Amino acid sequence: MKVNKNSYILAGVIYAILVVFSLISSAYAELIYSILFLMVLAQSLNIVFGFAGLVNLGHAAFVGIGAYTFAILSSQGFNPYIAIFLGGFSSCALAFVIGFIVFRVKEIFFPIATAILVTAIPYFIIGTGVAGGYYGITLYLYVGSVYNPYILLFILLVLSIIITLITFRMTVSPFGYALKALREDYDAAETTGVNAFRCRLIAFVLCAFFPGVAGGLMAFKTFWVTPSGAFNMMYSGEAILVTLLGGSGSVFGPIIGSLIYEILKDVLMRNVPGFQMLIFSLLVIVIVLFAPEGVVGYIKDRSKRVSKILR
Amino acid sequence: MVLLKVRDITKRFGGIIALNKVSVDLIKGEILGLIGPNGSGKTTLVNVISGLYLPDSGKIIYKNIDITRIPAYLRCRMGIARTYQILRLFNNLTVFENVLIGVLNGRKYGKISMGDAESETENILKILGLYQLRDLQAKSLNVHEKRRLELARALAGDPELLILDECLAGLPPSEIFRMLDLIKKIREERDMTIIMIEHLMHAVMNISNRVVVLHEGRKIAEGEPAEVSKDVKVAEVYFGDRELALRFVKR
Repeated sequence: MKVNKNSYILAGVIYAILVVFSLISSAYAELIYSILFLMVLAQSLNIVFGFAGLVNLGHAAFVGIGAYTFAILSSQGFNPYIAIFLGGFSSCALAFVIGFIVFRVKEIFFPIATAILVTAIPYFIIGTGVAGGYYGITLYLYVGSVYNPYILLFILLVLSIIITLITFRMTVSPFGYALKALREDYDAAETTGVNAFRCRLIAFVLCAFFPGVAGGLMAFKTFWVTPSGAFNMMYSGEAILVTLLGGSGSVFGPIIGSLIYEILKDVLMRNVPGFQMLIFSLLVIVIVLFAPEGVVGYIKDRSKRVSKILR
Repeated sequence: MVLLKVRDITKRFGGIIALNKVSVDLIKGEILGLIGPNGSGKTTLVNVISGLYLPDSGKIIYKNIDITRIPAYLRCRMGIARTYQILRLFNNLTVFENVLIGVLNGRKYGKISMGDAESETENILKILGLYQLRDLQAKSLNVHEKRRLELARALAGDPELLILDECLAGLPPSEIFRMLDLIKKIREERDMTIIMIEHLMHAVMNISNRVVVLHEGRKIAEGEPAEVSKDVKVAEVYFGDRELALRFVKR
C-alpha cells in the first residue's frame, strides 16, 4: 500500500496557504502561530491517542518540561535555538521513564499516570523552589536579543510537516498497523505477534518530542515560564479536543481540527467575547452526536473519492 | 515427534482452580480435540498455551524450549497462533488489514517486505473466501465471515501450531462443513498441528486424531475419538448421571 499522491498535495496546499497568510500581516502571523502550535500538539498526540488508542493527558507536562528545559538552559547562557530542541529531548526522556513503568502493566493506568504528571511537577517546582519556584523564570534578559517571531513560526511549520510525514508513513507502515491493532484489541494484538510494550513505548517517546519543543517555543515567545503557566492542563485538553474534532487516527484530522478551532476561536473572541468556550462545548457535543469520527470521518463516509485523498 | 508438552499446569483464579495439574502432549501433525463441559478449563488452557495467562505452576515446552514465561507475542512469532471463541477482531480495521497485521507480525516478523506481506495476505484471503470483502471493516461482516476472518488472521503468521477455540460456534450446518473442509485442507497444505476446542461432538470426533477431555480443570480422559466416546467417565460428565451414561456407553 502506498499513500495517495494527492494526499501529499493536499497537505502541501494547506501548508502553503498557512505560509502565505503568515506573510501577509503580523496579525495573521499571530493567528497562524497559534494554529501551528496547536497543530503540533494535536498531531503528536494523535499518534498516541488516535493510532495507539492511549488516552494521553500528559501533553501539557511535556510542554512544561520543554518550557522549563528551555528556560533553565537559556538562562545559563545556552543558545536559545539549541535549547528549544533540548527541551524536546528532555520531554522524550520523561516519556521514556513514565512509559517504561506504566506500559509494563496491561491495565490502563496510563491516563492517570499522565494526568498526575501535569499536576505533580508544578507542585514539585513550587514546593521545592527549584527553577525560580512559584515565580518562575523571566527570560527577556537572556533571549530577548535573538528573538524573531518568524523563526519560531518556521520551526513550528517544520515540526508540523515532520509529524505529517511520520503520520502518513504510519498509515501504511508495519509500525502504524501494530499500533492500530493494539488500539482495537490488546490481547488479540499480542497473540497476533505485536510487541505491545515496545510499540507503545516507541510511540509515546516519539510523540513527546514535539510538545517538548513547542513548550520551548512558548517560553521563548512569552519570555517567561511559571509552573502554572507551563504545566497547564489546557494544552492537553485542547489537543484532545481538536483531534476529536478533526478525526482521531487520521493524518488530516488534527490539522483540520486545529484550523477550525483556532480560526473559530479567533472569530468568536472578536465578536462574542467570553462565549467562545461555551460555544465550543456545544460544538463538541454536536460532533460526538453526529460525527463521532470527526470531520474527516464524516466526509470520508460520504465520498469514496475524497476518502482516498483525505487519509 | 512431540511438538508441545504441557506439564502439570495449574491455574487458579482466586479460590477457583481452573486448571488442576493438566498434562497434555501434542504430536506434530495431529489434530487434537479438546472437549469438556462449560467451565471445564478448555479456554483457560488455551490462554495459558498462547501466553495470555501465566500458570501458577507447571511448564509448557514447545519444540524443546520452555516457553512458560515467554510473552504472548514471541510465542506467536515462534509459530503458535490462535483464534478466539468470543470474536476479537480488529473491528475498525479492514479485512485486509486484519490479516496483514498477522502476516507482518508472525513467524516472518521483520523479514518480510511490505509488498510480499500484501501478496501473502491476498493469498490467505482467497483461500478463505474473503477476498471480495477485503476493503470492508471487520465489524461490518456477518458471523460466518468473522469466524473465517479469525481463522485467516491466525493463519497469517504461518503457524506450526494452530489453536482453534470454538471456531464453529454460532455457524449453521452448511458453514460448519465448509469450515471443517477448509481446516483439513489448510492443515494438509501447510503441515500444521492443530488443537481444536469444540462443543459439536460430531465435528470433533470426525476431524480429530486424538481427544482430550477436561472436567472441572482436570484431564479425565485421553485417547482416540472412538475410545473416548465409549468412556463411562466422559459420558457421565456430559449426561450428569451415571445410569444414563452407562446406558449410553452400552448402546
